Amino acid sequence: MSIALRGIGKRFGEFAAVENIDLDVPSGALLALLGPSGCGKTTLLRIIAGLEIPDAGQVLFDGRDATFRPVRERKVGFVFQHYALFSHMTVFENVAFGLKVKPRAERPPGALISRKVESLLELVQLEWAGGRYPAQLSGGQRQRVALARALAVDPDVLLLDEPFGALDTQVRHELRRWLRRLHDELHFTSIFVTHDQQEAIEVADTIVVLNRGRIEQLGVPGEVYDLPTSAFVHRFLGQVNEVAVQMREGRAHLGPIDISADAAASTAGSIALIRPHEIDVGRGAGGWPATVLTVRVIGPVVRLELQAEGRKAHPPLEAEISRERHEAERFGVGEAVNLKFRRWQIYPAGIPAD
Amino acid sequence: MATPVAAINPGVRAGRVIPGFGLTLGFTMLYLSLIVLIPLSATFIRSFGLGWGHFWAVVSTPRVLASLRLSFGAAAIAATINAAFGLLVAWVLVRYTFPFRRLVDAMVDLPFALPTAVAGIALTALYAPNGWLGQLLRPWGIQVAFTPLGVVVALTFIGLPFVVRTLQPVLEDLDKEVEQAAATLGATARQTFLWVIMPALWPALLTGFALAFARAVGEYGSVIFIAGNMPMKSEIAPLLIVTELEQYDYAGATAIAVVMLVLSFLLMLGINALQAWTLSRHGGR
Repeated sequence: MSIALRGIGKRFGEFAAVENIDLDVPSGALLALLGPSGCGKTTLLRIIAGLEIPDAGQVLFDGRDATFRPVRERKVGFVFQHYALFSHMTVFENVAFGLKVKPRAERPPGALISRKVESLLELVQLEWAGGRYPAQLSGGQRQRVALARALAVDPDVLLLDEPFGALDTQVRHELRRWLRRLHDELHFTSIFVTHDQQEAIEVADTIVVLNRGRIEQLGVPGEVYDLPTSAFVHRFLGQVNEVAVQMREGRAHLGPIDISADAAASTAGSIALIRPHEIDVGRGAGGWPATVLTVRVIGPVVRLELQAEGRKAHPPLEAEISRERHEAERFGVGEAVNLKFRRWQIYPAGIPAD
Repeated sequence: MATPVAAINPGVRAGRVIPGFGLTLGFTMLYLSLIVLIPLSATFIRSFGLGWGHFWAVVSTPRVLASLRLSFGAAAIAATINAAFGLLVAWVLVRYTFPFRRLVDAMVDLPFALPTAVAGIALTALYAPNGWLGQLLRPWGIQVAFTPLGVVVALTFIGLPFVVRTLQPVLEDLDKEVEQAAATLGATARQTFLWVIMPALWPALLTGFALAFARAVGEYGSVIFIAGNMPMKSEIAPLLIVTELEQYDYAGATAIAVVMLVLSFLLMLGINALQAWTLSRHGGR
């Protein structure tokens, strides 16, 4: 089922949670709503689910207006961050709930419900847990129960509100891959909310970056990461170093490096955002002299903190180099090096660094 | 064979908030003995002075049986009414905001604070055949004051806060997302209430019911004004006990008291068992 939002707005008192949102989610998409807390992503998801009614705009399901359609008639599966399982029911009863509350005419017979629940528990690899209560399961297992419960009613759309937010890294990673696989197998339309850019990049086909109730950028994961259209998106998706552009004798510079070839850099006061892996650390001549402050090996990469000359007042620059290169070069703390920027992006001045 | 560490050295068990299990348990026992057990035992011992035959003769008179039936029956009806409407009141107070909510909330406690005699007099004045409400009910052939119905009214009045106050915190803790989850799964409001909300409320509702019931069984002050106290008809057991005492029949009074005690205890035990059963279905949380 395709979903379309037209001019959606929602206020809570004086606070505009979302404003004038237009969004098209084609059938079968796996879309991530990404943004910092308070950006309106959860509100938007809840509006799609029918758990909130927007003050303005329209929600269309398959082109038909569903703005005021009651939750229970929307056929959406909703997965909550804190699972929201029925604690007095067993896992089996939790998953069967959506089938048992169907009107008598639509309700499948008991044996069919049992079979369906068992196959769903198998799908989420919890076939052994049918008789347990939610309290007896771990967080990751509970979230899988919540997913099975949502899938039991054959939803057209699966909505997930920070589904892995309360889980530890290992389980989160596993569940992300599993969700991706599940989506590819079952072909429903999924929208999930996250504040974790890595999660969005790993799982989604399309990322929608939200900021202060508005859509900042929409695109496929690589595009949003590599070609951010605003400093906000650039900062939000991954680490960045911020270096002010300085004008000397009519030419733009980052420190001693002349970047006046970059047409965007011609105005004073604009800033360059540089990702850690876009900084080249070397011992050769030329570039921006700097001192190595710390060296930290993080699995396959090595992160260096660097104090560039003339930037005492700013936080140190962060560079990431590959493990292999580090093994070959062995930069030591206190060592003098030269920095070069392989890539940067210029943004106009006056953007507050949040 | 693996022996749990705690069994070998109970002192090692993970930190307790209040130190000294022995001391605190000892104090609890002593305290309960002084406050509850000894006075109650005295009642029993006193009534044993009668001898079994005499005891039975006292408690099996039709007048005593009728009063016990009224006391327990009216208390059960009143507690049931309170369970239903107390749930409603608690729900409204927790789920909705409306003007003067705090005031209404405070009013719930009034039956606690009011001297029971005042409550009894007020209710009698209202429900007497020429009282404000009694007048309105008379054309319908309903008489409240000086009938068993009056007893139920008085007991309902004094029991309400128990149900409301035990349910309120539980209702406040209810996770709204669970209800929303039920809605996304297609449950109607009625199904959500019956299958999702009520199971979470049962233990607290039973506690409230038990408290209201216990209070109602023992209630004296508010009832005697409105009941009319006609033997065999609207005379409650606690009043009968007082009557016996006034005639210096201490043994007879304690005999009725013992029957009330045993009945109350058995009922409380039953309610507790029911509650333990509903709680076990939660599987912890």
